[in-house]
Amino acid sequence: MDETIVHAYGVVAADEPVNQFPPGIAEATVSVFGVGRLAAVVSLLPVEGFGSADWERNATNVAWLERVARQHHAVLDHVAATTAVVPLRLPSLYRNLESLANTLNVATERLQRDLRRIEGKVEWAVKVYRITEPQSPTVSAASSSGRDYLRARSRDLSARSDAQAQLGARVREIHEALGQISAEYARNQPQDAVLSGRRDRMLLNGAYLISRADQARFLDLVREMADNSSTKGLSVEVSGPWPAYNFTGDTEATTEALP
Amino acid sequence: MNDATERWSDNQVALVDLIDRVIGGGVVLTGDVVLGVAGVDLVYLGLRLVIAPAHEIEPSIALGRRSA
Repeated sequence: MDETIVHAYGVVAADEPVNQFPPGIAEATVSVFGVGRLAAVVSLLPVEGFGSADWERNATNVAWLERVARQHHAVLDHVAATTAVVPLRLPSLYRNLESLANTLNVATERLQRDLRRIEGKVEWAVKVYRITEPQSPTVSAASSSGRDYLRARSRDLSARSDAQAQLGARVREIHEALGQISAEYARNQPQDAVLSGRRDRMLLNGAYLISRADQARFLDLVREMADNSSTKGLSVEVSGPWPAYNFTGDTEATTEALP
Repeated sequence: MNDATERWSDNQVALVDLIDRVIGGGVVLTGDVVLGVAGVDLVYLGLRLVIAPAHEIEPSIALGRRSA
């Protein structure tokens, strides 16, 4: 038999019944591997093709990375639909099941802490983009002299900076309002425009940990924010539910909701 | 669940959102087969380098972005 490596998708509590997985990476079978009070969701993958050498080699291979990332996420997404799961960051490779068991044993305490943190909750993401540039109608060929031009230019710059401040304040309002109905919430770095392929400037890249029961309320609030913001040149966009990628491990949840 | 949930879950996840989470989020367990820190940085750098030229040609196609 060809040599295999263990790919671990995430960790659940051992007493959580999880089954009927979608196909894993490279269509591999996905199964649950119990270790004490925890269980890892795993696939055995061929070393030739998915070992660390392949990760190094494919670091610039978008098609390969995307395929692996989507399959990893699909499994976590499936589990997270019903169960608290701690997602493991890619690459998540173990020499064999014994090695994975040792790792889980060492990390049991913090993994259980993470599971308690996200129990009954899912992650939602809200991004806010600026969709219109502040207009500058005053600076135009109509300015009859250099002095007129400079005056108009100065007025224009000051109007722009007021508009910027207003947008910033509006974005903070949105984030805080969404945070009020979140168990935890975090403001991440805006995404790289090159990677997002989006020219509109991202003003908010927010993540919100929401009780399953509060999701409809959260989405209603997002919709309300979106409606109120469109006239101000902002686009409010929501995605989810996501497995709790932003609220597990050492990832910083910068703010906590009020009790 | 209301219609906003359905609207989004039906769409394919954008690559940048996925990468931010599966490589930038989640829990790091130190196994015995790991990439060095440089290796993980390389993944981000590589993506940027590879995507940048494509992005300049046609962003929505290059990234398979949602049109909705």
